Amino acid sequence: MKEKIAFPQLVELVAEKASTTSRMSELFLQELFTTISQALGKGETVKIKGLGTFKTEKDDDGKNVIFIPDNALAEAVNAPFAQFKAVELCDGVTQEQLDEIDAAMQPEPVAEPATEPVEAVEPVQDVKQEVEKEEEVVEIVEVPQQDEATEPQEEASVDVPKTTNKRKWLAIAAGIAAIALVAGIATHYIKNGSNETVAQADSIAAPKPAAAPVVTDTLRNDNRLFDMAQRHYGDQAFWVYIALENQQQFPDYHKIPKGSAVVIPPAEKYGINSDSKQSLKKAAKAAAELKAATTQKVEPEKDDKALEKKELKEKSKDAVDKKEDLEDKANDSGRKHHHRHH
Amino acid sequence: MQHKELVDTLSKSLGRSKSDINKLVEALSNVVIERCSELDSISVPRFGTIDAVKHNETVEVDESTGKRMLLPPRVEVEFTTSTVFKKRLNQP
Repeated sequence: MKEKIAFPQLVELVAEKASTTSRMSELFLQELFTTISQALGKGETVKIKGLGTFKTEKDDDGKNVIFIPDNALAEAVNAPFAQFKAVELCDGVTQEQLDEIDAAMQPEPVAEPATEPVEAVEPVQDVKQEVEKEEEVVEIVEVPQQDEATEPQEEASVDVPKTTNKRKWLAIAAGIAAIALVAGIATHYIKNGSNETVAQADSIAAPKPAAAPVVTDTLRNDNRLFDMAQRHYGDQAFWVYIALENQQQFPDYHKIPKGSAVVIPPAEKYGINSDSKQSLKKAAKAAAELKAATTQKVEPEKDDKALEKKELKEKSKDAVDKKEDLEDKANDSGRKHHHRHH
Repeated sequence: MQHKELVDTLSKSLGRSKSDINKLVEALSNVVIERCSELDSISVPRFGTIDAVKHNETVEVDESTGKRMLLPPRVEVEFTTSTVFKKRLNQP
């Protein structure tokens, strides 16, 4: 951190990286910077791949050298912040409101698709209605006794709002939560589509298979499927076979949890040979298929969930009517109470 | 001067093959990437200093819409020309 690297140190670092002698590295660096200086002295622009462009520009006190970093350099240096985007600030939000949101958010599991239907209704009023509906759903869901476990987040959010005011805040909270989740999902998909390496960085390990004396490897941030393929098979293109081999444990290779082990299949099983172009091609094809399959799988799942939820809501409406009938019939208030709290 | 030209020149003056030079250039850029990611600075005598500077997140107002935007933190790679080099550049 904030270390100053002097020339001799740079010489050593470069020598180590290029696995050459310090002497060679020193000569090279001296020659390189002399050449660049000379070219700049002539008013030329010098472009170095992977590093950037040096050029001269006139400023107040004469000529000066400016350096424009290469995209690769800029991206690598900014990698820790790559997931951040410029966001618009919501003014006039108080700490109290934030606390309410926190309270509402806490019991919510990270089940992403579950909130999909809410996201469609962004205006606060609609969300409010939605939440009220959801409340009904939860009260009634006990009667049909199903799907309750899949939607714990609704039940949780309903416990909070007792007054209309609170409900309003909850509605806002739900809206914000939905937007946040949508943004999260969107980022996830964009990443999946455009940059596999980034997605890989997110993907993290799986539970260790109980049986078999097979080769396993632990997935970490610095040891992703790519790295494993590189180490075990000699080419990172073969990561797809590791993903396929472990598909039972984790169908989505992007969501392999961190810190546990994945099975490394024996090279013969998939005909892995890093020297063979055919084998590499085959791996690339398999990777493309796997990627396509994973994205497709995720998309319809969301729709299914949305449908399920709709159905559930309709059911709950019927159930409301039924419940009213029931309540009319059952004069015993204790039974009603019992009903509510089961 | 493009990358290729630079490699050619270096390969001639050092009497090494182009692939060797390419390897060394790649090694240099890797070193720069690694060290700049750590926010280190690399100084080359009679040339200048390559510096990675972290800028914290800032709030900026979009003048056309009046919206306040929160911009994420970023690291910029900056270059400062050494005084010696600058003097030489500006010699008549």
